[in-house]
Parts: sequence; structure tokens; C-alpha cells
Amino acid sequence: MTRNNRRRRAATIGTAVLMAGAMTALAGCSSGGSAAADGTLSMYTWVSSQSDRDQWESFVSLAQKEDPDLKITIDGPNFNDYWTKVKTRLSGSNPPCILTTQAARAQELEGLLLPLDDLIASNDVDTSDYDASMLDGMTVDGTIRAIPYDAEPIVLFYNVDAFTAAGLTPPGATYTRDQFISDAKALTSGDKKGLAIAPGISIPTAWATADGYSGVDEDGTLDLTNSDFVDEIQSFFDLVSVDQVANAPEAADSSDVSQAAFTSGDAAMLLEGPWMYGTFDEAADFTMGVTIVPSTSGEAHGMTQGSGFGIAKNCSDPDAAFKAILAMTTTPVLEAQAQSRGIVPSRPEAVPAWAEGKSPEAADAVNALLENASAYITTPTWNQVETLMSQYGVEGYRGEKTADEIMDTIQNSVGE
Amino acid sequence: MAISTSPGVIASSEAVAPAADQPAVRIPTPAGKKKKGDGLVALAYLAPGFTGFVFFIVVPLIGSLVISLFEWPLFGSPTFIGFANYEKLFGDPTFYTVLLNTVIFAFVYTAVNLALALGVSLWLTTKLKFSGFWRVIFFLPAITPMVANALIWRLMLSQDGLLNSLLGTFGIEGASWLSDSRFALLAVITMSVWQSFGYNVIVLSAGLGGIPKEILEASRVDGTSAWNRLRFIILPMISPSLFFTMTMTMIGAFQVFVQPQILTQGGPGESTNTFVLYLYRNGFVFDKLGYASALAWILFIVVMLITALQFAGQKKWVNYDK
Repeated sequence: MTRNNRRRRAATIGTAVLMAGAMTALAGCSSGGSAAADGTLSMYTWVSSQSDRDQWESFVSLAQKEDPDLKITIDGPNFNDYWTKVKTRLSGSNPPCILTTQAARAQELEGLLLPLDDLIASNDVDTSDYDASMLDGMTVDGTIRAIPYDAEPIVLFYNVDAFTAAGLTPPGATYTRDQFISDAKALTSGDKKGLAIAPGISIPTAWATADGYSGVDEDGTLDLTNSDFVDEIQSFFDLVSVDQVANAPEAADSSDVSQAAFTSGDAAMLLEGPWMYGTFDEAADFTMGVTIVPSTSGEAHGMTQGSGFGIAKNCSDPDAAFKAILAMTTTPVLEAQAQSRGIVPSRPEAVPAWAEGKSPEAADAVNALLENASAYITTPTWNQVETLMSQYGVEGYRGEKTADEIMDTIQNSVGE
Repeated sequence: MAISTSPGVIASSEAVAPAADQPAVRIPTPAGKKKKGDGLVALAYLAPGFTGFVFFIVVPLIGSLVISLFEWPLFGSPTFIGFANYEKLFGDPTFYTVLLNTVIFAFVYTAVNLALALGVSLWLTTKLKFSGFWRVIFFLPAITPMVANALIWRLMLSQDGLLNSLLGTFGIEGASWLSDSRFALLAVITMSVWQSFGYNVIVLSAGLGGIPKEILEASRVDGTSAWNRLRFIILPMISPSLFFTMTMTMIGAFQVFVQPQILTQGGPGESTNTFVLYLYRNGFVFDKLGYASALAWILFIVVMLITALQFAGQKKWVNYDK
């Protein structure tokens, strides 16, 4: 083979490789979110278990009762991976049209979620039909990014039997901090604790919200170092380091640890979302009560957490996607989900369905919290806040650092 | 010297290899034909490994260098920012903390790992019964998934875990091994050594097995003490194995991730936060791929320098003579 022939062959092979690469790259390019030719929409969401898949499929099947032509495919990773993978999924080929998000993550997914205000207006949706705090939580830069399907205020679960055995009166729909600490101390003896605590920032934030304070200012900027919020976090740390009514959580503990402490009877109270009601009721061999998050005044001020359906910014048929979302969030659908899956519906008129089969006190507490609720408002960097709080919070609970020092460290690390 | 290989064939040593004082003999090619080189054959042999090296090492390496010059979110358009990620990195106090944690982890872990592995290897070469069984036992943690091992250790070391329960039976109040910054890094190192020293036991045992028994017997006849045999015969003869285990253990140590992630989440505070854990979080939790790539390049340089130092130092203590 002559030198020229070898060069020619090398050039041919090189061109072929480049062409193959280019074709592969082009194949990877997305042309916008999918709405298939037969009208099938794709939904990307967290599917951690068969239970999750059942929940999403029941949303679709219930919506199909009103719109038999509705077709939605469901796909997604587990909950923890979802928040990373949803970003890469939308960057890849054939991106989905419908996304789910928690209100607490709406800020983080701002770049992915289409503002829905125009669609809300053109479809004559009355936003007052939805829980106002949840719509607040789904609002980013003044525009609604998702339609919520649940509105779940953090509540205080308690062991009624432990209260009775200690000669205490179980709380009703009001609960002061002083009374709570007094009760928790009475319920603490030996290995038994008055309260179980998980690491992280959401429960301490619910504690602060009960008194009307937040770590995010009115402009949506991170403001962990404001003195009111710091005092609230310190009072939460003090439950462990000063009042000694709870064990300090370890940084790597999942919420399972505190939940198991409560359901096994090792801790008499636990702050958690009402979505856990059915699970706790099944696991606990004691009578379970539900009340509000204790506040200084004793009055209810709920912090709602919940999730909703949004539309990917690169969805090719947002109208169809929005109609599908509306079909999945009608009152009958949410009532059915409340009864079968235990969600607290985002439509106030559907909330009585959640109360069915539960104690009247639980319903009273949830209603009281929803009547005066604020969303769990976060910032786009909240993941960092959550991670750092898990790391540093341990030192706060152990009394090695003050809330002031920890909030200052986190605020500076996040750099907002 | 003539070497007879088979009937009718006489090969001279000069025809096979040139004598030391003679130039190489060029084998003539058939008249009119240009010799075909071995380039294509060599390329074919190299291709599988070379392709993998290019696509899985070189391309990602260059890719991460490019990404480190951008503010690059997982979704959305990247923005070119030059060396701003590197400037930010050198002004980031957490960077120095995780670097120090990682260096402490790497040196303590490597030293303890090698000392333990050497001790166990020497023990296994004595006239021990069931030495094969013990070798398997020590190797088991190395072949079980790291995540599973770390989860078990978390259960053992937690506040109400097995260790503190055991200590409690003796009336001793156990520490918060994973929540007290005085013990947390120690707990991570202990778990990591337990997980991986079995691999080094296997390598060092092989090295010890390669020492000729005659040498050790001769030294015994000469009346050497056990310590002197270890110091002047065994260690020099297994120095290549020691060098290999030390280098590989150190490189692995700088990449520690799972242990702090599962045991402590990097806490309490930043006391167990390591370089790769910090890098991973920046890339895939905090959505800062550019900053994570800059961290990756600094780690690459640090590991490369330390490995280069180890290779430079080996000339003084590694003995490849038989």
C-alpha cells in the first residue's frame, strides 16, 4: 500500500468515525418533551417502590374515569435520585412532559418547570380551590410552577397510652411550648424519651414556623441568621442539650430511626407529616394521637409540605399536559387518593375524605394547622442547607455549638 | 558456540542475538519486496486497551478540565467563567478542611492497614493450623459490598449500638462514636481498615511465600534473632509487595467516599468530610458540576504528586534483586 493510499484510507476511517460520532450526538439531541402521536403523555416522577408506582397509576386511572382518552406513561428513579436525574433526563433525548415536584423543591427545579399562569387563565382554573399555602410553595418568581395534589402540615404524633400512664392530659388542637416541654420531661425516664428527632432542617423549620418565623426572607433569599429564626432553632436544640427530652440524632440517621423510636414506644412524641398516619397506626401497638406543632402561644400555625404536577419547559404540548394535570387533581380523584393512600388533599373541599377512619382529634389538628398555614419555603440552594444542617445539627443537639454559630456557618457556606 | 536444535538445523547464537561487542545483524528481506512492519499488528493488539483508555480515561479527563472552566448546572446552559472555580476553591475554607481530613485519613489508614496486614501475614506463615481458613476470613470483608459493611458498622457504632451495649455490660458508658468529632474520623478509619486490610494480607502473604526457605534456614543456623530476620531478610525481600500495597492503598485512601457517606454524612460538622464526598455533593447534590470538576483536578494532582513521591522514594528501600 502506498503512502498516499494509506493516508486516504486513514482519512476515510477518520471521517467514518467522525460521522458516526456526529450521528450519535444528533440522535441524542432532544426535540422537546414528548406527546406521542397517539396523544400519550409521559410523566417523570419518583418511583421508589411498588407502592409509589401504584399511587401514580391510581392517579391516572382515577383521572381516566373523567377523561377516558387520557394516556400517561410513568417512569422514574427512586425518590433520592429523582432530584438529580430529572435534570439530566430533561437534557437528554425524548424528555418527559409532566414532572412531579415537592413544594420544597420547586425553587430548585425552577429551570425545568414551565410557568403555568397562562394555562391556568386560559383553562379558567380557580386557584382558590387549592390550598393557598401550597400554591405559595409552588410559586417561583411570582409564577405557579405546579398544581399541588396534597397539602400536608407537619403534626405532632403522640402516644396516648404513655400520656395516660404518666397521668398527663393528651393535648387537643392547641399546645403551648411550655406545656409540651413539661409533658416531654414527664414522659422521659431511663431509656424512654419524650420526643424523637431526625437530622435535617425541615422539622426545625416547622418548629420555627409554628411561631411564625422562617429562614427565608420575603424576597425569597436565604436568611438563616435572622435572630428570630436562630432563637427558634436554639430552642429546638435545647430540647436535647438542656431539657434532655430527646436523644441527639446522628448525622447519617434516616427518618426511619426516629420513626422506629416512636412506633416502638421508646419515644412518646414525634414531629412528622400526616402522610405517615397510616404507617404509624399500623406499626404502633398503642393508641396514637395527633396534635399541632407546639407554639409559644399554643395556637396552630402549620407548615405545609406537599407535592404537585408540573410541566417540563421543553414539553411540546403543554395544553394537553395541563389538561391531564387538571384531570388528576379533581376533587373526586383527590378524595379517592385521600381514602386509599392517606394523602391530605390540596383541595380543602376534599380534606374531609382524609379524616374518614381517623380520630376526630387528628382531623381537628390538621384542620387547625391548614387554616393558618405557611408553605415550606426554600431557596434554590436548599439542598446544601439540608446537607449542612445534617452535618452541623449534631453539634447543636449535643450542645457543642450554638444555633447562632451553626446558622452562621451554613449561611456563609451556602454563600447567598 | 553452536546450538543444535533439531536434526539438520544448526543455529548459531549470533544468528539469534548479537554478541555484546558486535552490531545487530540485519535479517535480509526477500529481493524486491519491502519489509512489512509490525505496526498494524501492534495496533490491533493495542486497540482494545487503547480505545478504552482514550474513551474512558483521556476523554473524561479532558472533559472534566473543560467543565471546570464553566459554571455548569445539570440542566441549563453552562457559562464560561475561566479559572473562577479554582479561585473560589482556594478561598473556600471547607476545601482545606476536607483536604486535611483526607490527608489524615490516607496516611493513618495506610499505615495502620499495612502494619496490620503485615502482622497478620507473618502470623499466617507460622506453623498455624487452618491458615487457609483464616486467610479467607480476613479476606471476606474485602469482597463484600462496602455499603453493606458500612451500614453494619453504623449499627454497631451508633449511640445505642452493639459496641455501647457491650461496654454497658461492663459498666462503661460508651462514647458517641459517630457524633463526637473526637472519635468520628477514628471510627471511619477503623471501619475502613477492617474492610480492606484482608486484600493486603493476600498480597503480602504471596510475597512472604516467595522468600526461599534456604535463606531463612541459613539465617537461623547463623543464630539470628526473629527481629533481625524480619528486619534484614524478610522486609527487604518483600519490599516490592510492600511498595505495591502501600501505593495502591494510598491511592484508594485518597478516594474514600462510601465510609463517611454511610457512617457520618461527613459530620459532625466537617470532621469526617472527605475530598471525594465533598466533590460528589458539589456535583450531584448542589448542582455545581464546574466546581466539582475543579475539585477533581486538584485531587488528581495531589494523588499524582504523592504517587510520584512514592515511586521516587522506592529506590531507597525497595529491593528487586533475587
